[in-house]
Amino acid sequence: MAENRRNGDRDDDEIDRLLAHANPNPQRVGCLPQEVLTSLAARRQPLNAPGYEHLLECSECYREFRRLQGEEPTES
Amino acid sequence: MEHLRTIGLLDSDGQPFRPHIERVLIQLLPRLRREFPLLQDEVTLAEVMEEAGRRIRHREERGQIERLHGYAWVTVRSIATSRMRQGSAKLHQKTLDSDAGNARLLATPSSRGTAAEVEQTVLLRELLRTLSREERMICLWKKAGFSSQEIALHQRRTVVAIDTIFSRAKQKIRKALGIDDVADAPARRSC
Repeated sequence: MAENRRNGDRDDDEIDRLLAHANPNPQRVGCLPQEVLTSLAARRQPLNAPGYEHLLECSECYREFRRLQGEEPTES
Repeated sequence: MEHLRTIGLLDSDGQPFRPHIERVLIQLLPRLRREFPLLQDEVTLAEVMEEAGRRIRHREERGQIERLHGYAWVTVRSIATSRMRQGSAKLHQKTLDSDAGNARLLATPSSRGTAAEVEQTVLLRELLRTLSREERMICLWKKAGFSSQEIALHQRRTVVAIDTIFSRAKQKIRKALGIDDVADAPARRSC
């Protein structure tokens, strides 16, 4: 349970696959600073933190966010 | 049918329907499946039933329905018929012809990757767009490790509603990705 709360359920790999590859942002437009990603990954930000919106729009940041959680999104 | 019984049907405010409405809707499920065999996936069936439940509840605000079972079936049938039309129309609207498809592929930003990878990206992006903003946010918050309870508090919804939305979002994704869904029996409550 604690593991799931920190990293998200492992049976949700399809969500990882979607968010990690649906929004390529190779020019890294509007990307989050590393400290913000670290803070999001550690759940030190509230649910309404704007950084979460960006994670839905930038696969590069989402993959980094997951890496910081100790998870590697599945390959598409 | 067991699936819908397990997760329950929810009103627009995320609350369960009153028992007599839910009971009549559950009773009509076999008939809905029989008469509309193309409406097979649980998400669509639940959406049809929930829309019917909302209409029945709305109608009951003006007075008791004398023959609830009959009224409910006519309502369910009407919504299901409308869904069938929408379904084929939506498919048609979302299908690009070859020229438009090529244009979309060429416009997709990619400094690397094969054509297959670019195509996969387009498909995933289109799939992401089929989810509502709330579904996307709940999926992300779950991956961030927030509990259903925390999300429910933030969204001012019930834990059951959050679990149901999350479960259906996953079903939509799995269905679109062609992943078998047998292992996903949504719980009534989670952490």
